[in-house]
Amino acid sequence: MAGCTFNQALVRAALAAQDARLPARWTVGVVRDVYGRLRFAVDAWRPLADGEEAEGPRQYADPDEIYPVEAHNFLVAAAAGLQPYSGSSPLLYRDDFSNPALLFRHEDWHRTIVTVSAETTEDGAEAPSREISVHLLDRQITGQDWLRPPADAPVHPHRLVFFGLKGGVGRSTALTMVAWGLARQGKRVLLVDFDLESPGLSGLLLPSEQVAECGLVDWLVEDAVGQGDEVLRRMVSASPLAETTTGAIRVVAAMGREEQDYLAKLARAYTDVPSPNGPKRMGARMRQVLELLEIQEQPDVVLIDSRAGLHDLAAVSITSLADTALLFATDSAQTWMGYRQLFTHWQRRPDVVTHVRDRLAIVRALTPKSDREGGVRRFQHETYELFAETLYDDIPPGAEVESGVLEHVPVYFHPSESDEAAPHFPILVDWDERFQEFDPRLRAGQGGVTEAQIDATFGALLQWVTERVSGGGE
Amino acid sequence: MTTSEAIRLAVREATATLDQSQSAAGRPEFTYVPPSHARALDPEATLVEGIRGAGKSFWWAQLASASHRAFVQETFPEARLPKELKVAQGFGNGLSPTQAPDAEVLSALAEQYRPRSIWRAVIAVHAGFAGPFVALKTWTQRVSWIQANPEEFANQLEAADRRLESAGEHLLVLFDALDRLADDWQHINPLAKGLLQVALDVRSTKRIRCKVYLRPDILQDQSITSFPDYSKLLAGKASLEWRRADLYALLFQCLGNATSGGAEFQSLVADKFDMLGKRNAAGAWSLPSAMRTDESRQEVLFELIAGKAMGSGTKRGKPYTWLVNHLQDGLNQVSPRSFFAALGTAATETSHDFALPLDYRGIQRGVQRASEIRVQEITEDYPWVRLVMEPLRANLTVPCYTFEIEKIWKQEGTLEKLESRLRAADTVVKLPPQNRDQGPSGILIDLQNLGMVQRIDGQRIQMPDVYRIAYGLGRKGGVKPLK
Repeated sequence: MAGCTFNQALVRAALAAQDARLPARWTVGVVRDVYGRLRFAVDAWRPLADGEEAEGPRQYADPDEIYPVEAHNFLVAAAAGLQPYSGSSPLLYRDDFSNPALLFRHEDWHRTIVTVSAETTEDGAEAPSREISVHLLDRQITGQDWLRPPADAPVHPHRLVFFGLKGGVGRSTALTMVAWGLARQGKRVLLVDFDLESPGLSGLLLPSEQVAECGLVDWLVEDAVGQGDEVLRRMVSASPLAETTTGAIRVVAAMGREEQDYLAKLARAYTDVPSPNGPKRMGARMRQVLELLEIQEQPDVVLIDSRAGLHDLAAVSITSLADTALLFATDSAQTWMGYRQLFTHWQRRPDVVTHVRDRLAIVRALTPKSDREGGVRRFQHETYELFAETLYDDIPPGAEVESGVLEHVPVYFHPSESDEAAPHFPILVDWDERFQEFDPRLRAGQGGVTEAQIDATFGALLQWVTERVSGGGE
Repeated sequence: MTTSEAIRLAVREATATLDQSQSAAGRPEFTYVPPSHARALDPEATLVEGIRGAGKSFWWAQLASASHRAFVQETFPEARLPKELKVAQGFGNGLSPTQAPDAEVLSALAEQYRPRSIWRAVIAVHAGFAGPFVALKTWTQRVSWIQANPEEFANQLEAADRRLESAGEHLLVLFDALDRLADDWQHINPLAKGLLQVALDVRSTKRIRCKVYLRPDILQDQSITSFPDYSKLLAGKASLEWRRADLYALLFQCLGNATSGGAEFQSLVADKFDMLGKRNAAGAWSLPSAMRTDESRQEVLFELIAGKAMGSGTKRGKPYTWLVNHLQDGLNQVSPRSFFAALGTAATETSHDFALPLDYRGIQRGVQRASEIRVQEITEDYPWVRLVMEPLRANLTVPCYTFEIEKIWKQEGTLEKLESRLRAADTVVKLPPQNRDQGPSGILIDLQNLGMVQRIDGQRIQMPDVYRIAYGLGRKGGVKPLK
């Protein structure tokens, strides 16, 4: 057998786990460890070797609960085929755990879809590529959060996450302008800088002396030792940008005003924190601090600056915090490749896809002014193709036949390319050099920009956000 | 009755009326002239182009009706209809033999006479030629006389023009449904060409004009348009296109004049925008002009009818844009008939105690219904479409490669069937696809010209929802339903 790669190993394991020769009454799960090594997990007792005496709890086991030895041997052989990706003890049974439920009932078990590529079978027939699903428990160091559907969130103000695959596309500026626009409509806006690795959002909104004493990183560190509440009250400040508006902009910065040791805190910020209910992960903690801030600040809208790139922190923001995630994109190979990776990751989990896809909205950043119409049309076509291939439903032929009942209108989610309300339909933010090194606190004529210039560049985005926020969640 | 119920009734009434008024003119106050159509009504616009359902026959009938003309003159002065305008119909559905020769008569005439002579005779009748012409009672006699007396024709035409001028009148002769001139392109084309030539000729008079309503594909046919000075005719061409604002303005105009619910709709406009539409002496209401073109105002008004969202939140879109988006064909056209069909269905499907006049789920259903009606319309106009599309029904997923379609056609022998029925002079294919000599790819070009398919990246074929749904085609997507 040829060598086996990370991807191939899972396909082989998936094929073995659902092999027809195995008894149907047990689901064979696959556990993948941090190195990508796979083990089969069966919620049954291990078959005894010849002459072996039953010991411990299994002395009392129902003989029907013992996995058949032929099936056991089949899986052992399959595991050998995984080569370097086979775990040291390739099969996990109840016998292997003092509390088997910890493994077999773990909350992270999920169905994931793998593609079996086209192949020539032993009898020479051509088998086309197909998709099968496997029951997987994926033990990762990070990355879990991309695939974690949110716990049911309590009622909260609309949360918009601003995400980009890389910096420098005007994401923070756009966020600032949207905040200001909403404040001008009389809204109370809470702005949270979750971009811990490159903090700086507050610089656009606050003179340095007005930044709050504590930052988000302080809460993450202090809460771990039970002092979160102390910090909470000292981490919000009001932006002077909203002074002339009827609303308010409340800013939570990543870093406090007189921060001396940010890197040391940051290095600890992502740790799981012990709690009576087991370790609390970063995702849950971010949700928690956000909910606390919402209770304290009572905002109408929450704008979250997400960390850029394919990182867990961004994943949490998009999949478990956002009511709307604005995905900033430019027309570059890096954009398409990055978003395709991200969407494909979600695509394997139908429950995640259906939850996340209609919260997404593509923002075409830095839209060039030359050949604007043609460029936008090409971009829209690219985004449509990307969404269609990864996140939109596949509608089988003949599936949308009229049912005759109003409640049974087809439920497929697959908007057309020109559908303005679709997630792929780009919201345009124009390229304007004035905003490249822009300080919103400067007045027009003193290096600042006029309201008309802001409207020309960010008007479409602001209008879109206004409509989305007023339309409520779903 | 609640306001919502009243307005729901108005939607039903308005949408049902348009459905019937394609050939027979409906109530005058249900007439709406989109700004871009004003030019199409102007007697100086001789060629008026429009897809199926764009309103060719509608305007052909409306212009011929004195009461509708009066309403248009009063309410839409931008259409520039002259005050003393006599309108006659020179070809179209449902005319009497006194007005125009029918297809049978045309076929007989075309065997003996030049097409131009035939159409000159039609003009002569409607222009009220004097002299020996008056005594001629059949079309054959008239055409024969015209062809034999070209000089007399010219003199009489000039005399008629002078009479109109001294009476302060204009004469407009309307022609519609050119695809019914004969049974096949071979016989239609010379007749159509002759008609266009005569339409150009009479432009030399001061007071007599023709107006010819035709489909875009007819104007693309060289055998019809290759004659000297055709470009002069083409330069004044008007197009019947319905932009989004036009469709909603038409709807609102009709709602305000509905027998039941009209008053409620008018007060909705008055309350929300502090605008009262004008009323004429007969009590007909006209939509305030600001509501005709201002999409943001229209959207606010439509929200009162159908709500803010196609769902419980705005993520699935707003009814105002959603509806039109889903009815657009590959050329971004929406026919008012499919628009009204969708709204009519939505009104019928909405339960009587629903808070708003229209339920978004009713609108979704309406789009399905409109999709079927659109397919019906297109296959009536282009019967060959049925033949090439039926093999694909519920049998294809788009976007697809052209070879996937060609494969199905090959398996089904579709093109051979088309050719054999064509040879058998079967009426199902009386007007075959124009590019069929290029084989399957030619048929795809014809479907593309009709707006039924779109080509993406040069190789793949996409189909807009308005056709895709009715034909039960699938759509490729990344999230497969798990079995």
